[in-house]
Amino acid sequence: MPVYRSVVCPFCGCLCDDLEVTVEDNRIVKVRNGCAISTSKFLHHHENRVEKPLIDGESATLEEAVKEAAEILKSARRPLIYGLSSTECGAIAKAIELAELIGGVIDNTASVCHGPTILALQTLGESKCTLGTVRNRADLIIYWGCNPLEAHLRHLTRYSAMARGLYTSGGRKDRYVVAVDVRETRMKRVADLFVKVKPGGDYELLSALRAVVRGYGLDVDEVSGVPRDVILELAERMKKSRFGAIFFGLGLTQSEGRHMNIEAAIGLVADLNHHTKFVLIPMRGHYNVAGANTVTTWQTGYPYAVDFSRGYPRYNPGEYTAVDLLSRGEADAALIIASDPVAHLPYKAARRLAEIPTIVLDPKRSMTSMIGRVVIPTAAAGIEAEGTAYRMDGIPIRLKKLMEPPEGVLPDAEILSLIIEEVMG
Amino acid sequence: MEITVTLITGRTAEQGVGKEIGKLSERYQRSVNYILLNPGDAERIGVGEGEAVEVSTLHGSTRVWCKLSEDIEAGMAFIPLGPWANRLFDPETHGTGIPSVKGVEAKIRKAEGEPPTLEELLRELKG
Amino acid sequence: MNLIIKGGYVYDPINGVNGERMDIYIKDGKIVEELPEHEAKVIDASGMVVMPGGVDLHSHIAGSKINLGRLLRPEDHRKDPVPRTRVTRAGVGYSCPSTYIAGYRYAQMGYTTVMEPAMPPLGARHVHEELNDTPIVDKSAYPLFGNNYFVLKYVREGDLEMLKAFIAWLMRATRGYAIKIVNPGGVESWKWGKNVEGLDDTVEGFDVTPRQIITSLARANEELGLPHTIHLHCNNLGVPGNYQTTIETMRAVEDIKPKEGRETTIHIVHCQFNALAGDSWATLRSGAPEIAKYVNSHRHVTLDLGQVIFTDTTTMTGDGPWQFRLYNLTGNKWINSDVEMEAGAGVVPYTFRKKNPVNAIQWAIGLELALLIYDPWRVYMTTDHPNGGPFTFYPKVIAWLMSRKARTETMLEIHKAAMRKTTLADIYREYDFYEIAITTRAAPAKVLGLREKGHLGPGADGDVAIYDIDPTEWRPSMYREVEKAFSRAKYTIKGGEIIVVDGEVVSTPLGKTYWVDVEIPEDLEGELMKDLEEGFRNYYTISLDNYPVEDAYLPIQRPVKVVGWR
Repeated sequence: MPVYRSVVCPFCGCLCDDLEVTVEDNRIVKVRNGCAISTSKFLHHHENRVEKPLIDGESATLEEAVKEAAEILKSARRPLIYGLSSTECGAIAKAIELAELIGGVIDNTASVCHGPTILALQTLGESKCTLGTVRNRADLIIYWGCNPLEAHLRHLTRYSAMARGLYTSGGRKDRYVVAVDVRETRMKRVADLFVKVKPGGDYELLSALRAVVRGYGLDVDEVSGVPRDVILELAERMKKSRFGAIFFGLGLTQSEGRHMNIEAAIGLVADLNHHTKFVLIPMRGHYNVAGANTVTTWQTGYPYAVDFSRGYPRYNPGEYTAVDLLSRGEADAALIIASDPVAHLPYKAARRLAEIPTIVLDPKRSMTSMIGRVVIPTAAAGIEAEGTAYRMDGIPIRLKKLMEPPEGVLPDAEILSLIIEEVMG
Repeated sequence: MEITVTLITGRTAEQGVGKEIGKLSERYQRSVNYILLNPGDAERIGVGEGEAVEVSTLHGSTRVWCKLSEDIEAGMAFIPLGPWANRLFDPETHGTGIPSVKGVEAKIRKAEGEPPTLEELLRELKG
Repeated sequence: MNLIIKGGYVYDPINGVNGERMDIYIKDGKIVEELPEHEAKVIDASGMVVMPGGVDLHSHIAGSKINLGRLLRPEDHRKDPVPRTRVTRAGVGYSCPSTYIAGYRYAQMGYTTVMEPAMPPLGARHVHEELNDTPIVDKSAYPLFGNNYFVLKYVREGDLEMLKAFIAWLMRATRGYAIKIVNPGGVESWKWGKNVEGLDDTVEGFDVTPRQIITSLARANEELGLPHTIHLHCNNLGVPGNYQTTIETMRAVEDIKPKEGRETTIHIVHCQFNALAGDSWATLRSGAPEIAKYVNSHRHVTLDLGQVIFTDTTTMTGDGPWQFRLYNLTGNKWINSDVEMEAGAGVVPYTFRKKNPVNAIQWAIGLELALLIYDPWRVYMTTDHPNGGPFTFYPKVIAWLMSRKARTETMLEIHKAAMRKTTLADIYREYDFYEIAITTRAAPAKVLGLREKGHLGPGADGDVAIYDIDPTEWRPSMYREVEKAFSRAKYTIKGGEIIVVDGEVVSTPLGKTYWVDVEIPEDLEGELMKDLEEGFRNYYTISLDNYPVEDAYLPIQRPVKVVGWR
């Protein structure tokens, strides 16, 4: 009964790599060290699978499905390739090659999570570090608009608040922990200080902190619902820390202000580096959304929202991003890889996917696969296929293949190669 | 009775677990087909735990089951990201690529009828 | 395909060939003595310059740092979009080119080997993934050692054997080629927001000095007998007066015995940035003459230029504290990126301006170094791409080296500080084609220990660059012609395959990746693994099992076997 050690979890941006997975008769029977979501992923990966290629809901051969997909993409005037955050980098590279070949647009799910983080980075830069640097050094950790207890379940113990490291042998008691959110989440119980900010008030609060760090006074009683004393004390604590880290999530990127919120945070952190060492780290959601940005950047120069209609890459979030292309009714065909936009994009964009010929590559049935014109089952990366994934902090880790995929089912990269061959003719 | 709340969306661990079983699984649907309300707010609109709530914004409306929690303050509401929540949001991204899905103003009231099932949502989507 | 390159003026310094008209034969990808004409395709190179393919030993083309640069700078890409062609992929160019474009553009200039000089070990897979998407050129990457926890630990303990074992292990784990050191000790201190200011400062949290780190690594390098020397980015980069640190650093390794077959023990990278004299920006002057004087009288040093180009570019180094300093000097956007236990990096866009006195001095310093150091075998042309400027400006640098007129014309356009605060105006030396062949291919290949590169003798790789310029008619006043010829090779041949014709890429094979393979004695390896297991468990965030780069990342690999322990 093979037991795989140091298995990498292909769920969230933490990419924990210490799992032990037991496989029996090509079936996963036991998972050790995984969080609840990870365990669910491994133990249930064989359920709700797309079993056969489908064209218009009818069974088809892989060859027929690939041919139909290629036809759709070739005859489209404005094809969109989207998803890519839950597959390995080889597939991402192939998807870019295909987008280039058909003169299409390629976007990944970063456009609806940390796209604003990237926009802010392109304006100002960013002071960041790998998670181990936080583990080993941070004596002040702030979680802003993110909730690792719901979305990155082992983050606190492996990488941040509770982790013990080189200069933090005491773990949690060597650190001061702050959580900032618009509502009292379970993070309140983890934190030494919980700061409740009014919805949409992050930009003001970050700016107020920055002003105080820069030595300006605050002549108001509160900012965004946070009392002045709390702001003054937090700013002082930031300056006095030896190594400070802010983790932030969609609470900043998806709310009023979007990239402006992140710019305020970047500015604050840059200023703090005149007093001490300070970093800012986005909590990336899907396990390889960082990889989707990374590969797209080295191949095209741009991280997402890339249009090849002129033969060379052009970049414009807001124009070449999936939500915009779909809700404007511009995209006239779509290829969705390892993602479920129908369940997650605003209704108008989801609806467009149901109107146009949509090709779906996914191991599992999803809302998007249910509306797909062509659906091709794929091997689950990190379980049935190997490849690279990039952790939320940019560390590349090799996903393992633990078992064979179902008969006749190929990894994303191989299916995309077949489509490319078919398009090239 | 109808009241206005500030609506937050987000991921939950339970949604993660359900999604990995499968989007069509019972557990996934349960994990995203609800609205978290403060008991006081729920009382004001006359719904209890497990009853249906009609949620509407400027951009759309949806029906979901009601869950009560003291953890959420009066005037706020939380719906996990998913096919029930996504009917409420403005697709306008203001040139950023990302729609606003947190801190959106929404009206809630007791619903007539049950929330749509996933199959019903799909059927409607396909038009 | 077999090739005969007929009738060109051949410059092959390793074999002492200086512009003689001769034929070059390539069979099965390698240079051979001779071939019958009917068995080969013949390329007529008469009236042209024939050289081995160019070898760049220091160019940031792959990995997290350049990719952060790409991410940071959409405005840079928009200056230089590159459309897809029948044979080539689309992408972007300028200072942070996408991987495919970097490969094509090197080949278009006749370069066939390029080394990525700063690989954070934790990011090694990323570097190799990008190198695999960089077509045509052969390549390698140098892992960062100078601020690595285990290096600092073994240096502190004075345990040279364990240090050697760790070096051997990390080379294999990362598939790396040479020991790169960046601001030794300073980058570790930067993790607390601090730096080191000289060779004898103490590294924050470790009881060691930069001097100890450098000398220990140099000694270990030579005892192991690695093909290249230590590859060092000195302390105090970019600080006025730092030429003294540079000389002190070279002096610190004077007594170290080089491995058999090599005379040198240290390579100083992008020396221009470390050859500043004066005690402030206001009193800045060139320290190049002092450095040249030292190098001319000591045989153990090589260096590369880090030549400045007057353009908008993107600086990126493993030197976090320097990048923070540059951010504060310029107010430009700034990325900092610290890597646990190992390294760090920073990225800041920068424009070298003709009318800026500091930039003018920097420009002159690079050329002074090239011209004042007599031995071209020990000074190599680079721009430290993209720090001093994009590598696509190499032909311009070649023109400056070969033509005093080219230098004078530039000097007249730029701030007078270049004339007043440096000796460049007084230098009459001009490189000839033979010396260009030395500094751009033969010498870097030699110092890298790449025996099959940088020459055209039998057994060498069939990497050849043919430039459409007649050296018998060329005069230094015709420097624009040389710039043009070196910008677009008439032919670039890589491993016997024709890659570029008339400056256009016609074929895009994947090159090979070199790495250094040193076997570690069993008992030593056992001891090392115990340390590594403990260190990884307690301080790293990935498992030791998942750390070493797998073969899957090296589709075409060329391990260079080294017998480290006899």
